[in-house]
Order: sequence, then C-alpha cells, then structure tokens
Amino acid sequence: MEKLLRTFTVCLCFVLANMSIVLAQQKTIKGTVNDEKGIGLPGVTIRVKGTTIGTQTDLNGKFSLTVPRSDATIVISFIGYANMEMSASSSFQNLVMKQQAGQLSDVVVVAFAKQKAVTVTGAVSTVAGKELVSTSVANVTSMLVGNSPGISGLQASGEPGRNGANIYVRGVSTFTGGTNPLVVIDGIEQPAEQPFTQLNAMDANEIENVSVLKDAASTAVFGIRGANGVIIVSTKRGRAGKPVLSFSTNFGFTKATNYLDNVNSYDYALFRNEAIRTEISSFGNTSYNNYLFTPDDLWKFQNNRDYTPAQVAAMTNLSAAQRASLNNSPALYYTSHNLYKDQFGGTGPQQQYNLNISGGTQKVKYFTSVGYFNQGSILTNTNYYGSNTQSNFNRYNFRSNFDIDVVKNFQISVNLAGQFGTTTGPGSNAAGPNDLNGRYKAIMQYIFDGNPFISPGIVNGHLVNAFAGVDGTADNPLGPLKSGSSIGNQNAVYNLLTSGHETLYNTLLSNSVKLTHTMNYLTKGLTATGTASYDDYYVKSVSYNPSLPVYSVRRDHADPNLLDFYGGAVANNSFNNNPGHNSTWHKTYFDAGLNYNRAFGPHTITALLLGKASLYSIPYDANNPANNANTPSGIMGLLSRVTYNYKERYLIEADLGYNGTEQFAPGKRFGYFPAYSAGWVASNESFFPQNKIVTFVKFRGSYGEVGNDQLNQRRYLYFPNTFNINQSGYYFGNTNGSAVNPYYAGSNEGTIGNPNVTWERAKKLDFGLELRFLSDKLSFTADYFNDKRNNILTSLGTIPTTYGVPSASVPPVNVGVTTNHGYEIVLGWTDKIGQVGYNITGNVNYARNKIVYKAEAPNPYPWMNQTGYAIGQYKGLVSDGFFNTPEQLANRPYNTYTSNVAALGDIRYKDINGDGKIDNKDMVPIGYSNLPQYNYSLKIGFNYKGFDVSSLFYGTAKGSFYMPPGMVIPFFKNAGNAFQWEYDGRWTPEKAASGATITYPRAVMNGTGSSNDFLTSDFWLLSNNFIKLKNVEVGYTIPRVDFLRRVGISSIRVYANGNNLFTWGNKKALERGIDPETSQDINNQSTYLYPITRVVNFGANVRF
Amino acid sequence: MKKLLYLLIGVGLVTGIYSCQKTFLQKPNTTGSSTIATVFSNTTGALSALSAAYRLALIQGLPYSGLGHGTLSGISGEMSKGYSWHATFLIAGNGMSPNPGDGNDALADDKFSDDYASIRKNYLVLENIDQVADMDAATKATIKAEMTGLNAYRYMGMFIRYGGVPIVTKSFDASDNLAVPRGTLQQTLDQITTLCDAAIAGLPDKWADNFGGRLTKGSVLAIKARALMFAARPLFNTATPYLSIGANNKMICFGSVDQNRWNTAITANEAVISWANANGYGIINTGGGTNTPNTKAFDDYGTATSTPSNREVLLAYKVDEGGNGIPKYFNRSPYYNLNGDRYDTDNSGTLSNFMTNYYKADGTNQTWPGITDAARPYSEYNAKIMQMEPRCLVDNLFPGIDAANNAGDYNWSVAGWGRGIINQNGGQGKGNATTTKFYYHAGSRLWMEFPLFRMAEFYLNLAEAYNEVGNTAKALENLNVVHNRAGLPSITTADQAGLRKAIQREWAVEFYNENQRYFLVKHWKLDDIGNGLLGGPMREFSFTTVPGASNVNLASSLLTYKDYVTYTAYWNPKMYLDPFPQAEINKGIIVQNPGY
Repeated sequence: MEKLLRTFTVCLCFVLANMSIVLAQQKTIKGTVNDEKGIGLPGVTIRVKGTTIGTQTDLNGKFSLTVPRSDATIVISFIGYANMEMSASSSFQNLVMKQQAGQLSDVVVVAFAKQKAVTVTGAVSTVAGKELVSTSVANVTSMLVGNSPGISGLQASGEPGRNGANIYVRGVSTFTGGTNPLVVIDGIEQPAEQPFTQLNAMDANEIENVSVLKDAASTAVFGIRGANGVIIVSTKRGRAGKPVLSFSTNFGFTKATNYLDNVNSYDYALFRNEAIRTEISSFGNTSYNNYLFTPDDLWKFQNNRDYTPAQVAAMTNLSAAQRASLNNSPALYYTSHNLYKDQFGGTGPQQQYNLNISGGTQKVKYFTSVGYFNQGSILTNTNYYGSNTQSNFNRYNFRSNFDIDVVKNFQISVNLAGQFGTTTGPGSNAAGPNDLNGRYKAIMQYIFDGNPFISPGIVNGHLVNAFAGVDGTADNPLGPLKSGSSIGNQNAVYNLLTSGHETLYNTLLSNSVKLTHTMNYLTKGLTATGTASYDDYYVKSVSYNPSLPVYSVRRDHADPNLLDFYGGAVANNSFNNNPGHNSTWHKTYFDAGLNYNRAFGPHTITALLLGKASLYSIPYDANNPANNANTPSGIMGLLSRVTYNYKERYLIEADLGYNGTEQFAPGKRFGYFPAYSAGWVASNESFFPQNKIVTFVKFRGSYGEVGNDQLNQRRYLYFPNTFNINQSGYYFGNTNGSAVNPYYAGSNEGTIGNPNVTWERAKKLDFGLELRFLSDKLSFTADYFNDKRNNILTSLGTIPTTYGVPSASVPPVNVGVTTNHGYEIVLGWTDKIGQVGYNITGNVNYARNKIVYKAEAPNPYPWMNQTGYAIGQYKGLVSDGFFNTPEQLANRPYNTYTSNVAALGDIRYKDINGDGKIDNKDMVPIGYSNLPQYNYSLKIGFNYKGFDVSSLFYGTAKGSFYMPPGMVIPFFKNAGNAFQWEYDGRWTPEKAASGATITYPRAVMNGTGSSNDFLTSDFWLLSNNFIKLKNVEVGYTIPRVDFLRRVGISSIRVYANGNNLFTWGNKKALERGIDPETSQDINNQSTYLYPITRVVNFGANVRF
Repeated sequence: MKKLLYLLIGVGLVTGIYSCQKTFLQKPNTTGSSTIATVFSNTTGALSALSAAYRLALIQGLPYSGLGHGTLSGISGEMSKGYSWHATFLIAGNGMSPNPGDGNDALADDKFSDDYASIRKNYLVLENIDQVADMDAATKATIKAEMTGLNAYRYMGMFIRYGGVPIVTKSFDASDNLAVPRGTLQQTLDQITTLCDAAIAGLPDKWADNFGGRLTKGSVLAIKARALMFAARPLFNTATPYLSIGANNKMICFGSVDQNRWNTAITANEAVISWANANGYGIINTGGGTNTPNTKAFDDYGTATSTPSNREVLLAYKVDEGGNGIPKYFNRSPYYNLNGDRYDTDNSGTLSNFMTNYYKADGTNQTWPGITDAARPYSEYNAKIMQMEPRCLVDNLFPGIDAANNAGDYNWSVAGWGRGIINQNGGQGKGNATTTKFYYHAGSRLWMEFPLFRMAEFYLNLAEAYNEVGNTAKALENLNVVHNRAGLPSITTADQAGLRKAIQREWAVEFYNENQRYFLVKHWKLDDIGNGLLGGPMREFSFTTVPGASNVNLASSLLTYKDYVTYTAYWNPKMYLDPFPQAEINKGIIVQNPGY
C-alpha cells in the first residue's frame, strides 16, 4: 500500500513539474451576466464547450474570456439557473439567466456517479455546503439535522469536541444491529466502526454538497452496509479560471440553553421541613427530627445572615461598630447558591477561520483549504491555580483537491486532507475521556447530592470545601448533624476543579488518488476508474491532575466579621503522559470500475460496474492488548448499475450490490442486494400541455433489498463451540485453615457457535412524487416508504433454561423482524417581489418503526412484550393523580415496589391488570421512544440588494424523554438538592383542596428509586417535542467599492448568525432545565447532562 | 476486440476480488483455542472441568447464586434484612417474586438458571470423561459417580425450594427437544434417590488429603437423608397442598399423608451415622459423654462450625477465596476491609426474634425485654449475655463484649471493630449482635468453608423423625447428642408436641446462619411463620450511649438498651415454595407454583 502511494506521489510531482500550458489566443469575449431583475450575477461559470477553458463572473457579473476559436460554443452555467449555450461570436452584453425554481442543482451526486436530477429514480435529498456553513456549530452531523429531509438526530452533550449529534436516516429499523448510516466522503466509504469520525472533523467550508440516499434504489449498490441509508459528502473542487481566494472568519459566543434551577436556601429549608413533618405525621418516623430547621435558621437563610440581630446584640465582646458590621455581613454558613448555574453559567468563545483558494488551468484544477475552529467552555470556574477545567476544542483542517489531466483521456484526482484536533475536558479520573457519563458524574454529582448552602464555593479567592468547626457549633452551624448530609467535603465546585483534565490530540490524515481513463477510443461514453485511499488516525492523550490549595473556613472568634481560612497546602501536581487512552486505526480502500454513459438519439443508457474493497485495522497496541485479538474488519464486493431513459420521460434503473464481510463464516459471507426502480416524467410527454401552472410532474418508485452487517454484538459469532480454560476452580484438599487448600483451576463450556449467522436484510419500498407549479415557483416533493427489516440478530427468549447453557452463551440467531414506514414531504416557494427575493421551504418527515418479531416468550399481558411496539418504547406505571384523601390512600392496591409505603400527596398508580397489586404487570408502554417520529423544518430566506436573511425553524413530535430518579428526588441522602420546579409544583393538602394544578408529589424526605413517587412511571416522562429557531443568519454584501478592488478584494460579506436560539413548545422540559433535543439511552438514563449550547456568531467573508 | 476487452476487464475484476479475499476478509488465528475435545483429552483438562462442576454445583443457596446480595439468614428471621440493594431486603419488603430482582432470574432464594447450568456441566464431565486418554477406568467410574452425586445435590436443592422440577438426564444438544415440563414431587424425589444410590455405589469412603472435599459415600448418603427428611415433613407429606394449582397439585405435595415417609427417612439417616462412625466422622465432643454436658462445648462447637476439614463436616463448599467472594457476607471482622466491601454485611445483625432460641448456659430460658418494656440499663444486657450458652457466644459479637471466638485478637474486639455495631435512635440493621460464626480461631483468615452437611444434622433429623413416629426414647437420645455437646443438660420432655418444639429450637440454635432455618420453618409449616418467624414484626435492640463517646461499641459507652420493631417482613403462603422465573413461565413449558 505504502509503495503504491509513493509511486503516485512521484508521478504527481513529475506531471506537475513538466506541465507546460500553452494557450492559443484567438478571441477575447467580454460581457455581463444578469439575473432576471437585471442585477449582475457574481460567480457564474463561463466555459468553452468541450474544453476546460473557462472563467467566472466578478461581483458585478462581468467577465472576460479568451477563447481558442471564434466559432466555439460558450456554456454559461450557475447553480440554480438554467444553463445557456451561445456561440462565441454572439454578443455577451447583458445576458439574462433564468432561475430554476425549487431545484438546487440539475445534477445530483449518487453512489459512484453524478446523475441528472430529472432522471433520478431513487429517493435522494441534497444539502448544499453553503447551508452547512451558515449553521455555526462544530459538527457536520449537527448541521445536517433540520437541513435535510429524512435525517433526524439527537444530541447527547453540549461539551466542546463531544457535541456531535447522532443522526439517523429515516429513523431506526433494528433493535440489535448498528443504526448509523454509511458515510461516504468523496467516494470513499468510512469504516462502520468510525461512522462519523471524519465527517465531524471536517470543516464545512470544504463541503460542496451532501446527498442523503434513503431508498433501496440509491443504496443497494452499497449492499451489506446500505440498509441504514447513506450520506455522501462531496468536497469542493477547483474550476478552470483565475485563482479565487476566499477568506472567512467568524467569532462568537456559546451559552447553555437551559439551566436546572435549584431552590434558594430559604425555600429549601421550608421544603425539607415539610418533608420531615410528613415523615412524622404519616409514618411516625421521628428519626429526621434533628434535621428540622428552626425559625432562626429560616430567618438567616431568608436574610443571608449568619446571626440574627438578637445573636449579634448578645455578642457583648464586640464593639458597636463590629456588631453593626456583622448585622450587615452576608452569610458564610447560610448562603444560597444556584449550583447548576454556578457550574455552567459561563460564556464560551467560539471562533473559526478558513482560507481557501481554487482555480485551475485546462490541465490542472485545484482547491485548497485550511481552516481552524475553536470552541471554548461554558464552565464558570475554569481556572483556579492552574486547574484548567475548560472544555475546549481546537481543530485544524487542511484539504487539497487536485484534478489533473495528465495526458489525453487520462485524469488523476488527488485528495489530500488532514484533520488535527485537540479536545480537552474535565474529569480525568473517569473510565476515559469518552466515558461521558463517568466524567459528567464526576463534575456534576454534587449539583444533585449537594444543596444550596453546603459550600460557599470560592470565597475571597479561596476554594472552600469545609467549615472549620465542630458540627453544630457556631463555627459550623449546619454541619452534618443539622443538615443530615453524609457526603463529607464534596461539593460541585470543588469536584469540578479537582477533577483534573485530559487532553486528546488527534490526527486524521486521509489521502486518495483516483484515476479516470476515458475510453472513447474504444466506445464512446466509456471510462475506467480506479481509486486508492489510505486514512490514518491517531489519538494521543495526556492528563493533568493539579493539586489545588483547598481551605476550610470559619468566622474569626475575636471578630466574626473576619474570615479565617485554614489549609491551602499544595502537593505535587500529577501529569500523566499516558493515561492509556491512546488509539489508532487506519483504513485502506480500493476500487476499480467501468462507467458507461451514452445517448443514442432519444435513448440514454448508463452503466456502472465496480469492484471495491476496504480494510479497517487497529495496529498492534502494546498499551491495549485487548484490541489485538481483533483481526481487521474488511468489506469487499462488486456493484453494478444500469439506467435507461427515453427522452427523460421514461426512466428505468437496476442496481445490484454483491458484497461481503469477514463477520460471517467463509462461504456465507457474500450476498446479493438488488434494487429496481422506475420513473415517469409526465410533464415531458408530448401530450402534456405546456402551461405555466403545472410545469413539472414526475412519478418514481423503487423496491430493493439492502443489508446491514453491523450486528452490534461480539464478532466471530460463527466460530465453533469453545471450552474456556483457566476459569474459576475449586479448592480440593484438607487443611485445617492455616493455609489455603490446593487449588485446581476450572474450565467451562464457552460460547456456542452459530455458523449460520448472517447480515440483516432490509426490504425497502419507496414511492415518490415531484411536482412544480407556477413556472417552477412552487415545488412539491413527497416520498412514502415502507421498509421491512428481517434477519435481525436476536437472542432467543424462547429457549428453556433446562438447556443449561447460560443465556449469554446461547448463540443469537437471525430471526428478528421490524417494520419502518413513513413519509417525507417538501414544499417550497421561491419568488421575488420587486427587489426582494424570498424563498420558503418546509418539510415534514415521519418514520415509525415496530418490532414485529424478536423471539420473545409471550408475557402474561401483551403490553409487557417488546414485540408489537416501537424500538426503544418507554414503559412504566400509569399515574392517576395523587392520594388526596385518606379514603384514596386506604383503598390503594398493594404496591410491590415500595413494601406498600405511601402517604397523602403521593402519586397514585393505576392497577392496569386489576389484580389488586402494583407490580411489573402494570408497566405499560408510556409515551414514545426517545427518537421522535416526526421531524419538521421551515426555512425562510429573503434578499434585498446586498442584504440577505435566512432562518431555519426545526421541530419534532411524538418523542419522549424520561427524567431518571436522580433528577427528581429531593433531599437525596437527607441533604441532596431540590429544584425550583419541584417546590413550585409540589402537592400540599391546601393545593389539593383548592384544586390547584399540582405537578409534583408531596415533599419526600430521603427518597430512593423505590420510593412510591419515584417509580418508573409516566409521571416523569416528558414529551421531547419542540420547535426551535435553529438557525438565523443576517448578512450584508458590501457593494463594489473601488478602494477594495484596488487592494484586490472582489467582494466582502459580513454577517451575524445564531444557532439554537429559541425553543418553544415544551415548557415542562424547559423549566426543568432539559433541552428537549437531548438524546437519552433508554437503558442507561443519565442524571448528569452537560447542557446543550446556543451560539451567537459574527463573521465576514472576503473573496479576492 | 471490444468484447474481448470487456471480458478481460470483467475477469480481471472477479479474479482480483477473489484473490484479495484473504487480505480483506481475514480470520483471527484460533490456534490454541480449546474445545471440549482438547479439554477432555487428558487428566489435567478433565480435572479442570471437574473443579468447575464442583464450584457451581455446591454454591446453591449461597450469595451470588442463591440470593444476589445477602444471605438466607436475612429472610429467615435470624438476621436483619440488609441494605436496600440486597435481595434479602427486597424479599423482606415484598416477598419473593418471579420477576428479576437483585440481578437474578427471579427475586428468590435460588438462581434457577444455575440449577440447570450446573446439571449440564456435570453431564458434560460424565459424558466426556471416557475420552480422557491418560486415566484408568476405575478413576473414570468414580468421576461419573461424583457427577451423579452432584446432580443429586442440585435436584435435592430444587426439590426443597420448588417441589417437582423438570428432570434432565443428559447434556442437551440445541437440536434436542428442550421443552421439559415439571415432574411431580414423587418423580423428583425418585430421581434424587436413584442418583444417590448410583453415586453411593461408585464413590470411595475417603479421598487423599489433596483431594479431600470431593464427594464420598458419606456425603451422598447425607444428600439422600436430607431429601427424605423434607419428603416426610408436613409441607410435602400431605393430601392438600398449601395452595392449590389444581390438576398439578402433585408437583407441590405427595397427595397423601404417609407416616412411613418418616421411617424411610430414619433408615437413611441411620445409614449416614453408621457410615460416619465407621469412617472417622462424628460429632466433636471432647469434654462430655452421654447425657453429660460437654465441658469444652465452646471449643468443640467452634471447631465443628469453623475449622476447615474437621471431622464433623461431611461436605463443605471449598472456595477458599476472600476478595469479593462469598465470605464478604459472612466475615465481618475488620480484617475484611479489602475492596471496601465490608459494608455489605453492615445491616445484618442478629434479630431479637431469634435470640430467644438460645438457652442460658444452665439450659434454662433467658428473659429478654419486649417491645413494650422501657429502656433498661446496659449493665443488665451485659450480664444477660454472660449467662448465655456457648453456641450463642461462638456465634455472635455483642455490643460492649469482645468476640469470644477469637479472644485476644484486637481486630475481633469491640475496640478494634472500627464501625458501629449498635442501632441508635431507631434505625435498622445492627440487630442485637453481629455474627461471628464460621470464624472461630480464624484470626486474619478471610475465607471459610461453608459447611453443607454437618453431623449434628443427622442426629436432629433422627430426633425429629423418631418423635414423629412416636419413639420418644430414640428421639431424646439423638436430640441430646447435640444438646449435650453444646454444654447443656439433657432434655427430658416426653410429650410429642413439647419434644417437637424442643427439637425445632435445637435446630434453630445449632444451625444458626447455616442456611437451614428458612426451609425448615416452611416445611414444618409453623403456625407463627407470618408472625415473627419469617414474616411479621422484626425486632432489634436500640442502645443509647454516653454523649460524645468516641467509640460507641465499648461497654463504657453504652447506657441503655431497648427492644423495638424495626420493620415488618412480608409473608404470604405462596412463599412456602419458590417462584420460577417469569421469563421461564412465559415460554409455556413450566407450571408456576401457586400464588405467583
């Protein structure tokens, strides 16, 4: 492989060095290209047909081009406008280009080819790079959400460097297998093990467009990896013409979108007293009595003082001035903090720079881009004596794309790209930098387990983690004895600052070379291509744990106005240059194929035959020997496609993927994945009346089968049965206990193999309708799809235990079945009123899946099964208000989760099966799954002269988010936090009597997940529906100024944009501090959410 | 020409792909992986399979395979229920449940899937041992008998817990019919006795010292004796089951009362004792004789329950591991601070409910305060403890009193204990005492070998069975073997009901914390089962201490003690037998026990 690359590099240098470009100068044409309103169009391509000679118009639409022959045909093209062809001899003054409504481009990137949009029979949607750039977030996956019909996504974290969204094409269709779509960048498939690594490290400025392939017709050629949809990213390439240099920069700020507000100390005290009094009155439990706050305590909390005026007056040893001062001295012990905001209330800077240059000659075209992106932290306390807890993300990008016509009929395209990142985050003691749960727990646990007064935080520059006094004395009046806290010196600020930080340095180099050989000499329209690519990824981590000066504090005994700090000793900082989180992988990819594209009069035929192979390897890693058991994962196969159209009226396409992976037994590795599709462009029929009302009508449909080899399970399932040696054994022998008996190691039957294990197979059906009306101003596209996924790897829930093989060793088999159906509708309108151009595009996606079969033994009640419900369906008890009266309480069914402990104001649950017990038979489907069924968006854009405004609204419906017990239990371990929404919404007898709205049960002391109120139930299930103003951009292009031209600037655009600006429609989630766009793992619901951020950005783009 | 070129390119592509397969679709190197054939190719491999078979077969009822966390004592009225994550806590709160709880297949005292995993393991050894090249036929025959005996042990365990269970007689292939329905109680008992008889025939009386702990004739005689006792006790030996499952009632009772079952049990138990006498096993009694209190009762009982490989233990669970293993729930000394796991036993003190079973050293009853009594001075408590019988002092560490079974060892003293052993201001878990059983003279040894069959059992079995068939003399004779050994004067009660109570009390004390009581109380169908035995109010002592005392464990720190109810344990007649896991019932092959 390396040898191959070296050879290519040598060839490339040779070609570049020896290239001499001689242009025959015959005629110079000059002109202006305007739009329909007579305004000059910048950036229009003017090209001599059949050659690569060309240029682009300047800011005012003017151009000048030297053409070799005066009878040459000149092609004038611009994205979104109809192409024009003219003879070089005609006049080019004030040409008018006509806009093509609703059509981004007349060419669509599909698998291994570009296809004229009108002839596409599959379901493909495209997003222009421009739209991605105007979404000012770090990750391309996040940019795609809302911008592309058919893509939905949720975001797990707002931490810089880890805030990418998980995206899905048409939802999910498997309950076992991988759900990530296949990502293809410039024709190179990304490894399934690293689906978004490269994509999310890309600079959006490098991207020309993104195609989302959704149905079988468009994905079948990817065969065994196509079932979850395919995302094809094409980077920008040079065009013949003068070098165009473009520089853009923006800078802005990120802030958390939501905060989880805890109650202030005073309310906390009232709230907890209420909880303790309920313990006494309802259960006769007096064990919390010592924790009751006294009226004096309440006064102090309310007034932010440590002493009541009476107490101060009694301090006769102080001077009158000292007493007066003390009466006005803010509390040290009775403080009140908003812990979540204290932690995440900061503003994180964000900046981005990109410089790219593109251009080329007839023989060599180039696009080169360098970029830098930086996102800082919203953490408030980031730098205390070098603690550096910034979550920080830096990324440098480099890309160079060359297209070189080496000799006649022979073209080389070389793509060189590098992505270099630095990601730093706090919490270095977790299981690793990517263990978000562990890291966030480290820095956030005490936001929940602490309370508003447990620690004063940083006082006079001192990090305080304790009060220097004996519990219950004046030096520590709220110490554990009073607060009931058992968490020692832990608090959120302290834990964040002392958590250390770990930095990942990652490098991804990806290189590819593509050779294209035009074989018109053999038969017209035939080309042969070959591609080789090599990606190399490397991550190095280092961690740093500073020893910080930490103090305990108390008020001075002689003069309580003064504070005494104790401690502050600093030990050695610890730097770990190898915390063991390094990783590396590389990937090679090859393909070779034949392309045929030819029109015979009204008949156009294209054909493709391609072989490809790729290999993803983790090299031997001495630090991580566990990885070394894995052999490289590879995929290889053949694919072919034949399309035919007659006058762009009747379209037929057949696709076939034939490929396999090493996941399966030899001889069972390869499979056929065929797809068939057809289309009818009715408006191209001769009988179709030419009119301005209905301007375009197209029907299309496809059916095919695609696979998924990502079984998300251990690999090598096909291996035969094994017996594991050196397992736990037995201590035979007779000693009297003075020594361990002789030990004999054991051996156990291992995994039982399943030689028949195979890929998931999706059968996909899609119908599409594309319409345009009113001279293409109004466009409408609709797709209906119905997918059935079978062969889903499933553990057999029906095998009896008497088999004696542990369920983990029973081989899973390919028997699971799901369905997934839905639609996408896109409606667009583009027009101009006077000088104001505007466009509105709305789209709605719907995808709903269902588990049809998963070898589940039927439960006593159908609602207990997973079969028949959506993947990831939430389940829980059904709440039925509260116990408002003693009668209701007395007549309750026996609750088997709580030993039947309940009090007035507790949540009442429905006994669904009517057996007089609340147990797991009453756990029914509640809400939906986390990934919403509906996604919709609305894009609105205006432009007027130099001004442009664009906005994106994005929303979802029919999705759920479950608030785990950690988020809703107040006074956890006696002294945990309580939140404002809990206090405001809680049940009290008065509220119950008056019929007021109650959104929280009674105050509960020291609850657990098995307390009545915190059982899994619909009471804590939130809808995650939302409507967001996802994106807004306002720009102004400075009109042509001679001064700028003199310094070589051809255009300047300044803009401001914002991302994730407003959220509506989900008051409940928002007031509880949860961004409804947050993803949740149904099996591992985390209490610790790193807030999702909004960005406000200002920038400029300069072209030279 | 063109066609030829296409053909060539096509062929090139296909052959290219074919020849690259090995590069792109690699297979991991599996040289050296073991298969059943390689393991059973030699004696070492076979012995490793044998070791694993013992390890799994005999763990039944112990933490991780019985309950997830906690010991059976936490639900048997012997000890407090433990922490909220313990299976014992959950069962004490809401009863056993067919649904998972604390990590097991069902929230119950057994891990059902381990039963059949163990039986499969045993059969894999039994069926493959003949392939071992370097082993003689006699050794192979013995190993087969051992595996048969281990299967009998597991079936016995299931018999006691579930009644009739599915009977599996080989290691299944995936293609076999895996749907095995439950057998009747009688079929299951017959299976046990058949397996026992086969094993007894093939087993030795003694093993070399390095292989002690393997099944002997005696230990399988013991399996049979215990199984037949449970067959004779009232839960199964009845015409009407505790709850009905209609046509399937014969899975949970024999369908008739048959006094002769006691006679069968007597025969089996006498066989154990005569085998023991002939082979050097027996009750350890170094300071007494017939009807004479043993003067060395403390040491003898301590040795019998704690010293590995002592002559009173026929079979023990020999996994000499500390760490995160089973002793985590039995060893409460500060020596067990490894892994910080000692907290797992922190809330499992001996309950007041159980304390009344212990005799005073003179054989009379102790009077303890009841829940209605006011707090009393600690000095009274201390004095009462000092009056207790030796077994009580071997079994427990009492507040303010150093553990007697490791006298002089700081880490077994209340001063060195290092954490609270008393309830203050209410609270739950510390009980009246903390258990020290199994650690007589253990010092820093963390592990212990849990006794599975101890000779005292068979004397008490005989006492119980003879009493039921009306042979009072033999009943008293056998009972007093155990009672006298404990240093207590002979029991002379002659009426059947009174003697039954005395025998049951002897069972409770002698086998405290040895996984017997939970099943005995149920199989005896005791009247108070839901009222203070397994269910109902559970009582502990609460102490008050000298304010500011630095170590509340010390006698000098303790002021008063008082009895109070800390929790009410759940009891429902369905719990006479265990539930099968719901997931198993869903498969439609097994009939669930009634009430679940």
